[in-house]
Amino acid sequence: MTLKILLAVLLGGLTGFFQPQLSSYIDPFVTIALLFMMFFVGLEFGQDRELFSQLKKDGCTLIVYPLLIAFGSLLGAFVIGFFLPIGILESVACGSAFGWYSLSGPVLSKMVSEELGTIAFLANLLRELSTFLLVPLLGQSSKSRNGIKPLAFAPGGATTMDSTLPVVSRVAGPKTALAAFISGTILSMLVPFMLQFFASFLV
Amino acid sequence: MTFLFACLIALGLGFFCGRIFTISKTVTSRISWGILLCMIFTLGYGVGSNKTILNNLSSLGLQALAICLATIIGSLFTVKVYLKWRENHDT
Repeated sequence: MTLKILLAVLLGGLTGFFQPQLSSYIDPFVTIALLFMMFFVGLEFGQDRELFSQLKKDGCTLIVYPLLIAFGSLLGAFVIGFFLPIGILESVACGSAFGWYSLSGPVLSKMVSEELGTIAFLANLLRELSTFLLVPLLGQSSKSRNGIKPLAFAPGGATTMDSTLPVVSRVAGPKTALAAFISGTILSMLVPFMLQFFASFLV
Repeated sequence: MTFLFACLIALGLGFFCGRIFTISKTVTSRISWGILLCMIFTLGYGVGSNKTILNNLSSLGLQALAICLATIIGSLFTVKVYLKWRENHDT
């Protein structure tokens, strides 16, 4: 599974390098593919009839995970910022995107600097890529609480709402996938505010 | 914003289809797996076709990698601490 994912990234990278003019065809394709993916995620939820009765039972605990993930990301970026040439606040700003590279890159390069925008883009892109690789490793062995394996989707941050959700669902099951979707949605809603907040200190 | 709404509509549509029809799980997981691989391909394509990112990949990439690892470890750490705390709390 991980090998196939790596292969797809490499193939995409090579195609992009040698055929960059295709990007105008690829952009609308991504939109359609994401919508189809959403449809299939919904389908999976809809077919699982026990899912929602259980969600009612422990709905409150599901809000805890995105808050923990957000706090952990900011803490990690803060600590590593001491050792990086770009600076602590810059590092925290990059970390506050929780994996949403397509938003954090443009926002930070526009509001702060091109350099920070590129770092934010790469850091969050790498976060999404490593989530694809980490979830299969974490999902099978990690501890579960109320049938949810929060460690399986913690690396994904905001990306577990869409792009990395199918991996989580495949590895850890629909119940963890639902928790991951809620976590990713809450984190995604936080990202625009977080980015603006930290960028406002850097201007 | 429009895209977010479109996503929610697709999600809801899928949900109701799942309630009404029963489609074999192997079929749906195979299709979503195929879509996923296409998405990852386009992700790689975005990096490969962007010359500015490719040229600065080594210098900026190291710092980006450090931040990426720090945020992942940080998130795993807080969730792990919470799980441990709840475990002790329950018993």
